[in-house]
Amino acid sequence: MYSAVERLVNLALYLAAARVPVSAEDIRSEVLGYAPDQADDAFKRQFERDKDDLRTAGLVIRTDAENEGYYRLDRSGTFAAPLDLNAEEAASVRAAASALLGDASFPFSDDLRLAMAKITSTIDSGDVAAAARLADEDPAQQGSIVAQLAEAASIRKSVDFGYTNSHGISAPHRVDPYGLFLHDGRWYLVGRDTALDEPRTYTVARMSDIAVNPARPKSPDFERPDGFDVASFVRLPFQYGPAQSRFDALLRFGASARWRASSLTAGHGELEADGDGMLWHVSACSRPRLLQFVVDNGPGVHLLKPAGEVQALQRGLKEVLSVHG
Amino acid sequence: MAKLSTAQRTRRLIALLGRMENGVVISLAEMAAEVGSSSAELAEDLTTLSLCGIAPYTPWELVPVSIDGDRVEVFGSIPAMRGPVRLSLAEAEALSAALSAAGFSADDPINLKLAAATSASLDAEELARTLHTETAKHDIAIFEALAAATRDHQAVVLAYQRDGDVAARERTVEPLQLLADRGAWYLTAWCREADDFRTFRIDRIRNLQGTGEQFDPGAHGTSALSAEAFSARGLPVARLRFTNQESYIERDWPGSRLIERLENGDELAEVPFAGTDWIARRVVARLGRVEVLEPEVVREAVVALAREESSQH
Repeated sequence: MYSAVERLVNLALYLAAARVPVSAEDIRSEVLGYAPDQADDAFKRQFERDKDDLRTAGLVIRTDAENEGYYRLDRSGTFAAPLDLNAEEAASVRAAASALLGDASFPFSDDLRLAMAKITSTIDSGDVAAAARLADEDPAQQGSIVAQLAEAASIRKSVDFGYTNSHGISAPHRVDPYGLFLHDGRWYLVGRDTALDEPRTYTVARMSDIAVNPARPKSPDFERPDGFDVASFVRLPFQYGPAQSRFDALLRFGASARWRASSLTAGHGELEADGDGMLWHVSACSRPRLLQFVVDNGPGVHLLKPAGEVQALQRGLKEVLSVHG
Repeated sequence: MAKLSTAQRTRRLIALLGRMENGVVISLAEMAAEVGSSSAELAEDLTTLSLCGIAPYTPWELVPVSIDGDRVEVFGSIPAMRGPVRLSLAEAEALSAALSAAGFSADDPINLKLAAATSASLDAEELARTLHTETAKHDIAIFEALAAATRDHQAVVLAYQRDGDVAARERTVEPLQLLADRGAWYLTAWCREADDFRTFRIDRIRNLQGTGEQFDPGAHGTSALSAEAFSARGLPVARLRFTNQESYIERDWPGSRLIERLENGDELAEVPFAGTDWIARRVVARLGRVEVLEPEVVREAVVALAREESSQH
């Protein structure tokens, strides 16, 4: 008695060895694991499932164009070409994989493990000591939820979940998941809230009871908007808040902080040269968080506008001295 | 470990077929580490593979692999197989996502080479539009050189610029481990100038030069590595008071713990710190809504920093 796994590997090897397209009947008689007394319909269903499973494993199985009902393995599509990584690139692949395979908050570790198992013999590099903690709050839970959401986004199925917002209010949501981003140790989902009919950003750590729409699993529920780019939803800490509270701020990176300007601004706002420093025009929504950002990322980061916030910063620094005086 | 489905296990076995190169002799444990399985899982997989083949299924048509204790030997070739199977779309996306988390963009040469050789279907740029990992911008060439130096146990000279330093300072270090934590990558190394372990943010390394000198990675012990990578154990602790205008949020103060809620709504917490610069800056940034109760050295650092910031604003 052959196991289903053995039958599938036998089928892969048979297709790989076949020099001409083969029929389902050839497969049924030549591949160990298919029961000879199986009804035709049952065999056909099993064979379809087996082809799907092998395709998921990376095999490219094609129907022969000239002979309907005949199959062949597309060898160039199935087998990897030589991989030409230099020593540093090979070490980087090892480092990234090594770090993330051990990180429960990385949602694709099963697929990454299989990817590395496939290419490990073609990467001329030993292992690199590395570790990661992409998300720090309940990493296994976040990793598991993001894996579900990423799959739903990929096949464009709606998801239902419970969500507790930052005010502690819980409510059910139905969302068309467009994309996911990771920022400062947290995963976020961006999608269209079907009740509000507008894109929203949700903190994955605040979700519960995720359910992907089980109806018509092979039919997408929605289309992503043209030009969607999940990175455009990533904000700096002081940019979160109601749209009506938005204001313009002007900051300056002094000579000692100029080299960090690109990293700190992360593509937001506009930078312009200003003597030995850089000016940064950026929009903000949260006044306390803007002041916190200025001090957190100092020295060398100066707030120039709005004037009221500059004064608030000065008052706050005096308060620090008063409290610790 | 959860039981794998037939499809999942088949994927693992198909991945292993690419390792079945005639003449390969390797320890079970080493191969298990390479493919990310346990030794027991790998032994079971290889045993299953050794039973698979093509008609007429004589021993000469079966996958030529044997396991003897800890020794795995591939004693023949599988004519039908021509090296490793390409990555499935999900596998290619996982690899691309891992590289993205390490700071490699979708159009970085490393991604393009991997996609061209191993996956016919991956569109890394499309993936980047739906899955984004925000990573502190480090120089990819420096990351690559550090990965290689860590692997090869080669000492390097790095130019490191801390926040507020006008220029970078050179240090000779022995790279031991790369770490990713909440969007930034770090290097743990033995610093010869400090004569101790040090952690360096990779986006603050301005330049890197190899020395060609090999070092013994175990020479200074391994207490700073692996399981301890994200631990705050052994660090001094400061006691902070969070006023009722500033909620204590544990993740904002890594390794901290709430110790008391006072009747007036204030909260007391213990926060570990490696250096006073870090904790003082975080306290000052709360503009009086957080007070350091002890130790005195942190209170002094807070006062000094608040004076310095006041003079600048």
